Amino acid sequence: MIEPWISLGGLLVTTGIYIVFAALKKKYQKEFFSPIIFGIILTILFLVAFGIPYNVYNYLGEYIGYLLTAAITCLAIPLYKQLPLLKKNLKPIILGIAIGSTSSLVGVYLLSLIFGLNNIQLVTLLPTSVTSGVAVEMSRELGGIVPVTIAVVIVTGIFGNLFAVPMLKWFKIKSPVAKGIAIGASSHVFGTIKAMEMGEKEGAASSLALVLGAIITVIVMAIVYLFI
Amino acid sequence: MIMPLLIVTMGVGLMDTWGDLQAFLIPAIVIAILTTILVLGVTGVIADAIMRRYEK
Repeated sequence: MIEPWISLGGLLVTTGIYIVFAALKKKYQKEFFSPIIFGIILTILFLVAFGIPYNVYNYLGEYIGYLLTAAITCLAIPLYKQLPLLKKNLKPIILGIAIGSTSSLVGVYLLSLIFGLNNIQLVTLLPTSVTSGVAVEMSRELGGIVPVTIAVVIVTGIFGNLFAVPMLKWFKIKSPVAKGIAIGASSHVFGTIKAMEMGEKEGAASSLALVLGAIITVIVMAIVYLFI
Repeated sequence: MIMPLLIVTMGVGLMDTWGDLQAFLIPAIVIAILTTILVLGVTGVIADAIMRRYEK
């Protein structure tokens, strides 16, 4: 059984790259040194160079997956603390998420038409804004290519995590609650991690949008499905 | 710090889906990015606007 050791080594390499680039980013105050982007690219190069397949590298990933699940549960704490604020703004939150999640489906549909994608490619991309667990089920149910859906969800999340702050500025979104739900509805867990860094209000709103966005997307999909 | 690190290990998985993704790589990435901008903008602007109306 050598796999766990290779996996552990690989994860340590990733951690090392991450720490180095996090330090570079802090020292030079440049967004360019993104530990996430460089972590992914350099780890892939490392694995390719040593001929290590992803499933061996990710041998311990199952357990890391548990950590992520546990970490997601922790999102409930700021949600609980910010409950009065969220309750007070229930209407803008629900309307924002409902219209935002629907706009995601419409956006993917229209862009797929523009790019001339086939039906399978369309349903593969459709759950792009939804958190990965729900996105996988949605893609499978609709007959999409599940691994590609996961990849696209990750791309969406990374993009949201990296560019949430400039995008919010660009759209002139001011209130912390609106910022949070905008991030959560557009870039699920990865975005929510960013929202947490911005503040507890943003983080709580983002976690709520992450959950409600997934539920609303599934409901809208079911309704659309009834009519085709 | 553990959560961003998890993003990295999941992102490395892109190396496996590369083959399937390659067929429509550019449209897939463009669609993912444009949709993210669209949803963030729509959700945030609507929520912000409704909140401002309520406060007045």
